[in-house]
Amino acid sequence: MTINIAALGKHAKLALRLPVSWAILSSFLVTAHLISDYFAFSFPAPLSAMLALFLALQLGLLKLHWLQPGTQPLLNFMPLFFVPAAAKVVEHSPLIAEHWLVLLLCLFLVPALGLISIGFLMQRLRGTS
Amino acid sequence: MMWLALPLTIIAFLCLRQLHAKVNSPLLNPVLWTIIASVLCLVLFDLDLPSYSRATSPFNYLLELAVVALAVPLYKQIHQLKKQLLLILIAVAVGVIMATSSAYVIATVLDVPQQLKASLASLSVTTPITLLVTEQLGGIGSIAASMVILIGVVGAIVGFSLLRLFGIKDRSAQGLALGGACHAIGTATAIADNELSAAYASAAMALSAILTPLLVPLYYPWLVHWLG
Repeated sequence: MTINIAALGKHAKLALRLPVSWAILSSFLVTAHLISDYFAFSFPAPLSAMLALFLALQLGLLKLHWLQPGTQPLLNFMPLFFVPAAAKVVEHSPLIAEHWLVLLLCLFLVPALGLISIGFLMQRLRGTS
Repeated sequence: MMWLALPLTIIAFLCLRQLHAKVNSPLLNPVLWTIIASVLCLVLFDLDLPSYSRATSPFNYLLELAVVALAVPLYKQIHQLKKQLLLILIAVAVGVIMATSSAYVIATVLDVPQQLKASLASLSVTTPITLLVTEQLGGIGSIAASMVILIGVVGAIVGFSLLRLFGIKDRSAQGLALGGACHAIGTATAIADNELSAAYASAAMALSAILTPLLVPLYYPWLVHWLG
């Protein structure tokens, strides 16, 4: 049995990059929480961290390939992470039963108006630009 | 017993995702059905909600980390569509305002409590952002999140037909509308349809994730002031 040193090295490098990128993401998140708590900002800390990370990428302070090994699995499984938060809707079943018509109207009208307004505007703007 | 909540949620999601990959219908959206399965378990076994929250709390940290990670697709999309960034920004901002206004007007006309109005204020953005913005406005995150997912499913089913019906045939405009109004599920529909729509849908989804938390907390109090 021969051991492919190059392939092994590649895997080891990849395995190292995952904790590095998660450490970068976590450091942005923790810093944003600390700043948000200290100054009592109402703007959500994870969003401040996202904007800060975006700026860091734009300014070239961070390289995309440092982050990608960690962000890819996180984004791939993101829908799973909000399942418990959404499942807690059961707590509000009396409120939903009472106002089901509003929810039903919003369910169809909000996306319909959003689709038409964005699509129409973009088509017009592209046509005239 | 409650320690099973986390592994069972993961297993249910992975199985439903496999099924969705085979059948490929928006009606079989894996997130939607994992939520429905979780709700059914909570109701049928009369499970304690605070204990359920504690057992699934690692997801909260991962969700926050995933929100931070959204900076990466945003950075990539902005570079791809640099030339039309202003047009896209205007169209997506109008979409965000339209979604907040229409939901607020419907809720005001039908006289619902303020907490429910706040829960419907940010429906045109990806779910983790909705959870954060709704919490900031004093709404109920779980209602907002469920609505956002259902809106995505509606958009995936009728999105392209509705756009064509209203004469919107430009593929970039169709993609932008799907990503801006129906977020991740709408974007997935655009990705399945054609490459041009897919690029615009991804950009719209990423930009609405930035614009919604910036615009809605400023616009919502204004709506409350004028419409009550």
